[in-house]
This record gives sequence, structure tokens and C-alpha cells, in this order.
Amino acid sequence: MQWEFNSDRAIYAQIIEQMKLFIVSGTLKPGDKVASVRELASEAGVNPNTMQKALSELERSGLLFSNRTSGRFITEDESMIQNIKNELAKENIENFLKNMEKIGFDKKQTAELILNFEKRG
Amino acid sequence: MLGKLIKYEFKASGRLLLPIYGAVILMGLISSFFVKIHPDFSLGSKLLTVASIVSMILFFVLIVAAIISSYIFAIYRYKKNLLDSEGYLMNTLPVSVWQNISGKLIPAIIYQLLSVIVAFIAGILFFIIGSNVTVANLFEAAERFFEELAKASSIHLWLAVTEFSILILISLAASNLMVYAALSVGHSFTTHKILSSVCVYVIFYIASQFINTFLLIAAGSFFNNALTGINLTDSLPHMLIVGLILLETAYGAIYFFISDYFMKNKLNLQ
Amino acid sequence: MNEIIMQCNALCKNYSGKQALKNLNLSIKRGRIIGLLGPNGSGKTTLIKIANALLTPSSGQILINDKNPGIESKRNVAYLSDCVCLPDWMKVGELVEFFASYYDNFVTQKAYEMINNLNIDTNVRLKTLSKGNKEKVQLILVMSRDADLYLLDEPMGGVDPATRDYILNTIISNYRENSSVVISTHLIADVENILDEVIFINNGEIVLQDMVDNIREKQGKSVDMLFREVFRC
Repeated sequence: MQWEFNSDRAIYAQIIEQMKLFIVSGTLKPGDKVASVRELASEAGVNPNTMQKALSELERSGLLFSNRTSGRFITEDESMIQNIKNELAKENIENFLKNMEKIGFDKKQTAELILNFEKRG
Repeated sequence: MLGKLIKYEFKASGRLLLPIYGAVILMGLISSFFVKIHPDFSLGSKLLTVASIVSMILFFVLIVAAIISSYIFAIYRYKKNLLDSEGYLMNTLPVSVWQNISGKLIPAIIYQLLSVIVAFIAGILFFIIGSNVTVANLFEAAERFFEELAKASSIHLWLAVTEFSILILISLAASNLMVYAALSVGHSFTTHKILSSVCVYVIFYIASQFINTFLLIAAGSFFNNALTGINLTDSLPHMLIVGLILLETAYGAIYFFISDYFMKNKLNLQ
Repeated sequence: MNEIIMQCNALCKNYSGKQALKNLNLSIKRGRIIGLLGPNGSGKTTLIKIANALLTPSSGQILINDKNPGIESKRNVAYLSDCVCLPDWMKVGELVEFFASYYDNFVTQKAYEMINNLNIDTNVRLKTLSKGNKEKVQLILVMSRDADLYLLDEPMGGVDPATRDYILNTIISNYRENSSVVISTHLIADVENILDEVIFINNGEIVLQDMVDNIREKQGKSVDMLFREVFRC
């Protein structure tokens, strides 16, 4: 898994975002076992305490669940994953529209551009 | 822990000293071999004459080198291992300061004694191989020498030998500790550590000479005044040796204390 | 178990007229990876050496587990010096045995595992290794101890990026929950992601001590950026 961090936001928040991405993109599949905190921290090059904090947060939100004896797993609740997918899609579209607005395209024009782009694609 | 430190130091010093000691024995054998096959320099091959003279000079130089290097190396090891960069390792080991000092001192003394023993053995080997004397002859001669000595003087021979051995051991320890103390004090300064160490050594030396002179005068007047009329020929050498042992022990203890104090409280590794 | 592993009270150190540490007060808690950050000559190394009893404070006090530095603290503190200070005539395997024989908390198997992973032959003398490998071996020996406090002085001074990643990884993967790791460095960007907490030190004084997430959340900038602002020349 490829981890990337930018430098101006709390790392644990960025870990949460990237874990969500791994899940919706299918890098981590429903029911998959998640590597240990130490392994993940080592892989991402972050502090194990921070990784622990992020995973606990994901657990609280229900995306991960832990089994006392065998570790942490990705949720098998597909609808929850779909919800996150929708959320991320919404966020991305909002950002995109905002940026398009900045360079002078309103929503309608943008939608047209996308359709034409697709056709040419 | 002390045992481990001693073992480690034996290995570290032995790397350099043991080959030198080995070379002394080897050179003794080589030069005695030349003497054996070419006993008379005025006759026969000039080349052999040159070879045997060169080998004997080398033998002598190596003996001196072995003895001197055992002293120099003791100083070098203390400085390098405890006061230079390796000191970061040695001084963060969970051992006491006195153990670290003793861990250098004991192997140093043993190697210094060993250098003399090796020189002695090499000399005897040279003598036995190079001449017609046998080992048996040597033992007989030695026994005769000690018997004569015992007869000639009223000293209890084995007591004297024991006392003398103790004196040598203690003085060796004290002389090493004097260097250790000078190094420990000198390296507590922030700059000019080596120069400071030399200065401290000179100060220690002058101070000890001063004390020795004072004690000699005091002892002289004591024997002159207080003990006139008592026959001292029997006990005087004995008293002298015991006095020297006590004096050297005192010096050793003071230098040990100084080293310990400065290594513990004034360590200044940079 | 005390929550505070290391504490400095009004710690001062003078070197030939210059004050290297000025009345320093500091406490370091268990279970954290802490960056001791400051420009060259700010007092980082002096502080770490005092904690290891390699220097004696001019005044004030430093306590490790509530005790003055001594044999007891040396058992529980693992120290990485800013230079390779191992006897280089020893073989790598001999060095492992050397550490194992003095430190009860040294995990020999862990050390051999890490050395094998680097494909370093334990039968070669340290002096035959490259500079980078010497530094790695020294780090492995330090991190193979189950210590309470790891004091790492400039662990990444002058190494290439690959070695830097290796060093950071070694620190992360050997870190244990109840111990603390103090990493002194002036290369903040390199270590920022693995730190819980940072201490800024300048001219022998603590300028700032805070959690990394707090800094990022409150200031909206990285520790590296903040450092550049605080220490702007």
C-alpha cells in the first residue's frame, strides 16, 4: 500500500483518509485482516502511537472491527463501504466544481465539458 | 562484571602485545641458531657473522620493544578505551567506575610482568641452544646461587622473595595508576587534554619525589636517633621493603581514588 | 512505574565560560517518540550526554526514573552516540555478544535477525564495513535492547535517503509501548512523521514543547515549517 502524507495536517487524520481510500478502492477487501499496528506504522513510516490512534478512530466509526484474539478486520458491511464511496465522490466533485468555478466554468458548462470529454475519450 | 571487563581488555591488548612477545621468542631462537652453527665470528663465512650479529641486535631490540610497549600500550588503552570516543560505549555500560579502572589495570600489570617473563625465557632459550649448557645445569646453578645467597646473608630467603615480589607488583600498579590519574584529571579539561595530562603527570611526579625525599630524611634521622645501639643488620632490609610496600600502596590508593573521582564526577567526553 | 521517565530541574552546564544549558526544565513521559530539535550547538548533545553521565552538570539536576544517572540508569537507557564509538577491531558477532553480556535487557536473537536482514557477515571485523553499515550495526545494537529510554543522538547525521529510511524503520519497529525514544536532530522533515512530541531547544533553553498533532492542528503547518520560523536567522 502506498502511503503519502502532506505536511500541514495531523497525520492521524491523513491515515484515516487513506485507509478509507484503500477500502473503497478495493486494495483492502471486506473481511480482510488488517496488518498489525507495528507493521502498518513501519510501512507508512509513521509513529505506532499515531497509527494506533487512527485505527481506533476507524474502529469507532465501524469501518474496522476487531476480534480480541485474531486482530482487526475490514467491515463486511458493503453498504457502509458504499456510503463512504459516495461521500468521497461527493467531496471530490465539490472540490472539482469549486476549482472549475475559479477558472470561469459554471456547473452547466462543466457538465458539458465532461460529456464531450467522455465522447472524445 | 569486572571479570568480563578484564577478559575483554586481555583480548584487546593481546592483539598487539602477544605477537610482539611471540616475535621475541622467535628471534631468540633464530639468533641462538646462528650462534650454534657459527660459534666463532673470527672464522668462516663473513655472511654468517653478519647474519648472527644482526639477529642478536634484533633480538635485543625486540626484548626492549616488548617491555616498553607493554607500558605504552597500558597508557594508550586507558586513554583510547575510556577517554576517547570508545569511552561513549565503556562509560555507558552498567558497571562502576572502579570496575572500569581495574579492568584496565589488572590486564596491564599482567602483560607488563609477562613481557619480562617472556624476555627471561627467550634469554634462557638463547643461552641453552647457543651454548653447551643443559637445562639441568641451569637448574643446578640456580639452586647453588640461592643457597649461597641464603648462607651469605641472615635474611630469611623466601620471606624476602615474597616481599620483593609484592613490592614489584604494588609499584607496577602504582606507576600505572599514576598515569591513569594524570589522564583522568587532564581529560576533565575542555581543551588541551593531552597537554594537561602531561602537566598533571609532572606535578604528581614532583610531588611524589618531594614526599619520598622527605620520608627518606625522616626515616634516616629516626634510625640515627631512636635506634642507636640496637643491631639492625638483620631487620633493616626487611623493614625497608615493608616500608616501601606501604608507601607504594598509599600512592596507588591515592591515584586510584583520584582516577575514580574524576571519571565519576568530572568526566568530560567530547 | 513512573509516568515521567526523564526529568531535568534547573539544569545548567557551562563549558569554558560558555553556557551550553541554561536553567533547563523538562520532563519526558513514557510511551512517546520525541524529537529533540534545534540548530547545531543548541545544547542537544550536551543534554543527552548529561543524561548518560558522560558529562556532569554544572548545577541543577537530571533524573532518570527518579534517580541520578548511574549504574541503574545505564541499565535502562540505551544510548546511540553521534559517532561510531564501537571498538572497530571486534567482529560484528563479538560486538553482539559484548552487548549481550553487559545488558540484561539485550535481545540477542533480535540483533542477529536484523544483522542477517542486512546481509552483514557476523564474522567480519567492524572496521571492514562501510560507514553506513557501521552506523546501522551500532543502531541495531542499541535498538536490540528492551530499554525504558532510548537516547539517539543524530541517528541520521549525513546518511543517504535509503539508509535514513532504514534507520527510521528500525526505530519504529523496535519501539515498545512503555518506553520512550528521544531523537535529536536538526533534520526535522525526515523525522516529523514518526514523532509524537517535539522539543525545540535553542541556546541551551527550551523554546517549545508540544505534541506534533497539536502543532499541525493549531498552526496549520508542519513542524518543519514552524521550526524554520522559530529559528529564522
